[in-house]
Amino acid sequence: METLANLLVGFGVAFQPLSLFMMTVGLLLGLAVGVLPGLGGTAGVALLLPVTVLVPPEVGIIFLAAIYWGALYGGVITSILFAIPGEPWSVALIFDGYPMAKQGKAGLALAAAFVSSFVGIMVAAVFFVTLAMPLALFALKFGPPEMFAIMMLAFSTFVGLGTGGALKTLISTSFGLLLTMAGLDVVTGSPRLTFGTMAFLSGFHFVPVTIGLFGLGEIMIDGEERLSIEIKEVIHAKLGWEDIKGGIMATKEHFGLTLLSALMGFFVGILPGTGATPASFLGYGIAKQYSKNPEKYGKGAIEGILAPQAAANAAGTGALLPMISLGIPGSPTAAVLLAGLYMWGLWPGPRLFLEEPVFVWGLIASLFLSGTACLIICLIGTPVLASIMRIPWGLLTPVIVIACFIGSYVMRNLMFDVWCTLVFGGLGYVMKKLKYPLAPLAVALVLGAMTERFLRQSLIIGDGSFGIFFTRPISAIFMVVALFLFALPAFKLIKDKMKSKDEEAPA
Amino acid sequence: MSGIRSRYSFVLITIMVCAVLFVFGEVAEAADWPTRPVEFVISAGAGGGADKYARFLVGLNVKNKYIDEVIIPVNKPGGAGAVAMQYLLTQKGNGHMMLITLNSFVTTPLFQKLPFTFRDFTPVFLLALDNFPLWVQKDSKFKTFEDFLSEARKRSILVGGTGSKQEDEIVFRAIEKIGKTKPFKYVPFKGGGAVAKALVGGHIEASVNQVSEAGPFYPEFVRPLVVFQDERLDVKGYEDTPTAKELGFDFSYNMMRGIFAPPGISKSEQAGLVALFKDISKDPDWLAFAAKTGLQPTSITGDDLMKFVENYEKKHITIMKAQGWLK
Amino acid sequence: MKKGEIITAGLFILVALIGIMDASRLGFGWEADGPQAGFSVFWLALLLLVCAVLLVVINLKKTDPGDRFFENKEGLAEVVRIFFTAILLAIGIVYTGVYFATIGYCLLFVRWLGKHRWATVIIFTIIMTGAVYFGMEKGLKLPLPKSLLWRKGLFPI
Repeated sequence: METLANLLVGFGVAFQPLSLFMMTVGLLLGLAVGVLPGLGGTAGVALLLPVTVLVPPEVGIIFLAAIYWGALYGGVITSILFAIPGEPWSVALIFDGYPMAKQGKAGLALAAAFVSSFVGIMVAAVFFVTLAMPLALFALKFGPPEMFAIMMLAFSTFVGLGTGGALKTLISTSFGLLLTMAGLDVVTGSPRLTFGTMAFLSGFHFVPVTIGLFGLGEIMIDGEERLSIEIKEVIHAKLGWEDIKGGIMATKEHFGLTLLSALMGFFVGILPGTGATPASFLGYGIAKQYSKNPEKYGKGAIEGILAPQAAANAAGTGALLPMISLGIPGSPTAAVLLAGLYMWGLWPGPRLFLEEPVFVWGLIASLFLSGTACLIICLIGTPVLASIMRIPWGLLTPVIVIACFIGSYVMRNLMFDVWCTLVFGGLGYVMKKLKYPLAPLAVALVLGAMTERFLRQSLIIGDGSFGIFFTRPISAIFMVVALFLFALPAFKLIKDKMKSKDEEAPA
Repeated sequence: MSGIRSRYSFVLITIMVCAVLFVFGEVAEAADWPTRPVEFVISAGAGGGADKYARFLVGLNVKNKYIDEVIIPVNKPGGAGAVAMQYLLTQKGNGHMMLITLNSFVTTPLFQKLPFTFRDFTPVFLLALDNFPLWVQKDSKFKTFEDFLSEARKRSILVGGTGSKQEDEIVFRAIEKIGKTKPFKYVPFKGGGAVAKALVGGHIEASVNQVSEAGPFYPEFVRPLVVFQDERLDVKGYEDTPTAKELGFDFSYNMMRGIFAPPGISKSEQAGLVALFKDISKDPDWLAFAAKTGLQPTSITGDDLMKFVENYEKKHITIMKAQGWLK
Repeated sequence: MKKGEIITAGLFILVALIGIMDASRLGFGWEADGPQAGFSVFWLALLLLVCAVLLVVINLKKTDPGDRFFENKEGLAEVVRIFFTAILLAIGIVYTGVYFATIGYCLLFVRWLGKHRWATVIIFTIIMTGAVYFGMEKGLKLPLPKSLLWRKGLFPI
């Protein structure tokens, strides 16, 4: 009852004209920022943080949170249309979203992504209202060993993903992991794979690399196909409300999967320091693992959009929970918002809930409002977005290339990142032509650094023994599941061999 | 009728002239600095330790307009500050740029054997000295710093901090040396927030988070045993936390929250930057923040700042040599 | 395809060897509190090396050259053109700043590769450069690399 009363107070704040106005502005800004590759929600929030000193804190946080929600929705647009991840967590959307767009189903893919985003945010918002404190306290139990186990789980769901055979998958994965090691080693502080250069000291960031591998690589593939293959009459999907209806229907059809992904995503999101990106990969991996026909994945399966997007948005929302309830940032964006709290003279921490109810509940209420408003804005925009695909190639391509380069630069303000995009663009093209699977490379790039950090932190805690992963109950459970999934393809292989032998025997 | 009208127009013209004079007067006054947006370089990613401070300071300028141009925060993370420092050096003579610095400003060039030192930069302002209390969990068996030390002499205690061979590890290694304890098991984390979270969650036994990082969890989850600086923390709730020196443990260490500019900027540009931070250092919001987080506000500039940092360097060389991190 | 496979695998072998070299400098053993800095680098590089070498061997044994890497000459030329203009854009950003580079790239690409009319080319270039300038520099206040003229205070970009 008390919760309900608080929530009503929150809606009172969120429905103020100034809040509503700032929220709308924030959502539109967030969508814009999300569309631009490299400029994530974190950057958007950070950029506009200083401006919020001009409005009351409860309006300021609603504004900043709206930017973040906008970016959560907006990141998928370029992933689906051009294979350029607008946000780190929308890398997984490329795997099936881009093939769908190529088949002329861009509108449907977008609509499905937006609807599942909405489901993700709403699931997270409900948890926010009901179980914030106990969940935040539970999340604290996750130390480095538990986090490492979760990373292993994420990797294990990607076993056997994509085409190209085991050898090429292994090359992709180990190459991606190797790339993440360049820079200062977190444990010893010594520079690795830098060869004494300043440029490599910053390390390879996965955003410029994935922009190159997927975005620029696809542009070259496109350029070649445009000339060499007789272009089939581009299937002009009916631009209109059909797609939106289709998106809603698809979500309805796979509602169980979407909901499960959202729940899983929310939980990964509240864990410290992970954010939405691992959640979206886990969502994709799990959807594929449990699919009856996993061979559809990577070729335009709509589940490959619904699951990662619901997970990413639930995780993105969940990442704010430990910040609000305990003052611990769950993601870089949450950390920036935390800086906002200082600026407004608020003190984050367990007392915030009690001392500043108007502020906290205003934010929570705005979750529901922003999530819904953004869905409406996006769905209305879907036909327009899908029609971008009709812009002539000679005009659209330079826009994409320039956006790729600028996006790579603004991420860390390094020219090195622009060169990375260029070089990996060339590599992405070649690898794609030779049928190297790029998805494992992307997963390795995104999760590699985190995984190594968690592993080595755990080993220091556990005196250099791997036993630590199996003596702590939570990590033991995840590790066992992960190991099982790693071994699954081998089991399958043996089973298939036995079967074929059985079949051969009578003959 | 026309009389009234002409009187009105007279008033109007007067107001306009005044406005024009005011506007141009302002411009004329501020003509030397700044003439375009000022870049505020941050050696951490968005949301990192120094980033929070920098954006806080930028917010103060938005609110109170200390300078007419905007201040643009630019993140240049990587290499424990090396990337950001290198970037400033390439911008020689750019007076519209500044860098927020930590102790890594001194230690990174030393440890990574970089071809430059802090002496290559233009000193602007030392805003504050930040603190290093020793934190343990609320229900930890360590009631006092002596408890902690005597246990540390018996076994390797599990501690955590930000990065490797940076401020936090330096503090723990110094405790090791001075207290003659067994070597700590030091777990490096990515940032202060992650360290505080690991402490609250019980994954490490002690940390040296700043009050601004671990303070929000005191007294619910953690408590400070001792603070490694010359004077006690001037913050409500921390009056009873002793300094190390009071306990006969001769170690004092602070984090510099300073501002530096690229080399070769003009005197007027340097003066403009110093004036900006002089204003900020008197800002009531800044002072309130300092009081809440136990920062010791300072206002050291120019050659005094250089001397101050040189002393810091000497101190660090001693500690780092003792560790064998430097030869 | 066969040649392409071998060259690409060779590239990975090179990366792996560099990795192993650096790992041996860092040390890849196991200390009391866990692995040394080069540990993960070494084993990953070794895995990469083994896989890439296997791939080379498999391809060398293949007698059938398979499909051609480029199906026809035009395809190859187009890919080279796209990549080449992108390189020019990156070099342009370094030496003339984002804005002049954008102008040059748009003119070049839309006219040369896009084969649009000059009117379209010019309108497009103006819109694109303006959008980047007002969107990034003015709107989001994100400073992008600028030209030497800007550094000297002579020109706004």
